[in-house]
Amino acid sequence: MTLQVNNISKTFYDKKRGEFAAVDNVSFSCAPGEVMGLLGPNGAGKTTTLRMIGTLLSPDSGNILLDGFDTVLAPEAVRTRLGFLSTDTGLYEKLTPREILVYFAKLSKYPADKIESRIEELISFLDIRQYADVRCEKLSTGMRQKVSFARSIVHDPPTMAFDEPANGLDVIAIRALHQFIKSCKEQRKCVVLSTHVMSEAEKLCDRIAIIHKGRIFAIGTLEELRAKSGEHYLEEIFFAMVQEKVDELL
Amino acid sequence: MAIRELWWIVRKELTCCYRDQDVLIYGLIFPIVLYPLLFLLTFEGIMWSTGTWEKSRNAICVVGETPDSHFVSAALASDSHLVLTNEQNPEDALKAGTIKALIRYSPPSQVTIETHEPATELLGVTEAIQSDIRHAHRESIDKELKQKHIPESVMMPFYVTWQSIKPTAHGPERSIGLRYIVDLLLQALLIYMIFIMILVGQVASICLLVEEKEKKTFDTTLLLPISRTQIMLAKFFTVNVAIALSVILHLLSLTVNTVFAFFAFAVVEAQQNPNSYVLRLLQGRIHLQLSDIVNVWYTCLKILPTLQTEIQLPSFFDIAFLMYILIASSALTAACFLFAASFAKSNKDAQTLALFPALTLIGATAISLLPGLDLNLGTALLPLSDLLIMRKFPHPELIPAFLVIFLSIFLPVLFLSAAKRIFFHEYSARRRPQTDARARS
Repeated sequence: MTLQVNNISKTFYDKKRGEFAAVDNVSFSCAPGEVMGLLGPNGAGKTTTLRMIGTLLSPDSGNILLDGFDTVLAPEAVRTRLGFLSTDTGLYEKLTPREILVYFAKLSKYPADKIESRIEELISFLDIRQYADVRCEKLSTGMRQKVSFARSIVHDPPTMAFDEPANGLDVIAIRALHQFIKSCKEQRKCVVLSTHVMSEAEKLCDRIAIIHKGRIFAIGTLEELRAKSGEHYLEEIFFAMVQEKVDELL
Repeated sequence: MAIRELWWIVRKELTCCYRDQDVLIYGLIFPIVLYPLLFLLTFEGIMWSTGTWEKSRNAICVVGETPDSHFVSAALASDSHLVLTNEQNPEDALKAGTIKALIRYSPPSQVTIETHEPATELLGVTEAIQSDIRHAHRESIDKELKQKHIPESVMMPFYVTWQSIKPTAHGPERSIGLRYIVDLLLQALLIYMIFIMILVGQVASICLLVEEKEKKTFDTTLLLPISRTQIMLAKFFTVNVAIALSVILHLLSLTVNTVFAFFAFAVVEAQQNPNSYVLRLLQGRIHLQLSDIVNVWYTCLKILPTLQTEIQLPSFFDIAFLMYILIASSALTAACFLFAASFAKSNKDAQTLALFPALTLIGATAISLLPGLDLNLGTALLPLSDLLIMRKFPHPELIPAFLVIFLSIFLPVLFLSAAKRIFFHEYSARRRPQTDARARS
């Protein structure tokens, strides 16, 4: 199993709300060649879960194993094997996309002799050649998102965690992104995709975890979720699952 | 491997740092542009004032004759403040303001100065004329004494030999000589370098730490398989490199421009003297040869021992200690500013917070300027180094020496680890220990 998330919880403190659980006892796994979707509304705990996978946050309880490495005990080994993209991962404004890619490839221990060809490959694939040598401070939101995406996969990681990767991208770039995620399946790579776009989850994910208020309400393939909820469309499935769980709790 | 990674991070931080407008201006452009501009302005100012003074030179007229009047006229003619004119009707010229003063000689050696100049200028011209006349009289008397074989010493009843005056107290030696001037200049230069360190350290720290938070690039950095200590160390080294580079540039620029300014003034001076060496050199009437340059170096080496006793050049230990104090000051400055910047959420916060270490460091330097502390190379930098003053304690005691070295390492490490702790606070402080299974077990 490439990625294994075991009963992780994370509590934050806020002056208005006091202590609140952003993630509450969440467990799931992602096998090689699988795209695992985290589907939920804003504030559901998707980003916090992914940030814990990306070693940016430590879980209060539970653990996350990536290729057998614990995110808390061996964060550097996890980071070498993980490609992480989030809305909070900005770009160094004073560097150019090419410089950022070289920097990340070098420090992620990508073979030095292959760095140049890998960067050229990504520049062509994401169509960023026109502004590959322009400082990031001059790039638009969509351009930055493309560069961020390239940055997250420059070291060709076996596992990837993408948080709302289509944010700010145009139709052509979204298509390239979807193609890339599909190609990851063929290359036996593991992808965890957080999204609130139902159609994207339907199209790309092999299994979907419906997450709301920090808890996973249902997990399974689209067919399994349809069978369980009796609904056809993912949007309807989502509302049915959430309602069912709320009723159970009441 | 860790060092190679650290070098990559430092290189990236340096690139980001020197692409920042503030660091570029204060760290690189400022030292390169400031001194030429400063010297140009000074030069232009001096030229302007010389030009104004040239225009307002005072025309005077001399009438009558006495046995020593030719001495007086020669002295007045050689005074660059005055212009001697021949007027047919000097009284009318004085009334009309064509001349400033009319000097009448009447036998045996009486001199009358008539002037219509306003009260503000009166002192200037008449003082100059009187001084010239006194000087001329003195020369005339000297000549007469020589003719009569009477020694000139009759005119000088006593001599004061300053060389024989030596300090009697046990306190520091304070002679108003070349050494004192060199010491003062070095102190001023070193204090100035501290200010440069503070300025550049502040700007670079803000650029490296606060902008990461503002632009949300901090999460990106944390995704790299590198430790947080490496990240903080890279920032610390980058600030130190920025400080060192700026100090070196300031020193180089200051040296080059001072030499250039001296040369420029020498050229201007030379233009007034057609036979001057500099002018002949410029006009190609003298050709410099390799032997001339060798001679200059040889002369320099010959006068070095004399110079060393005169200004007491620092020993190897002094220079090593000075370099150590400079590096320690740079490290302390960088650590202090990184510590202050780690609290800040925005650029504005950082600028306010940076005032505290800036004022503390300036204050520490100012304390070393207090009269009782006996300023010299050591004390000019930090009050701490007062314990190891090179000339005050030629053989420094071990305990204060150890204390200085220990503190100069301990303080930057303390500030840096505190900065790291505060900066990474938001990623660790929100953990709730009571629910952490690992903590419970």
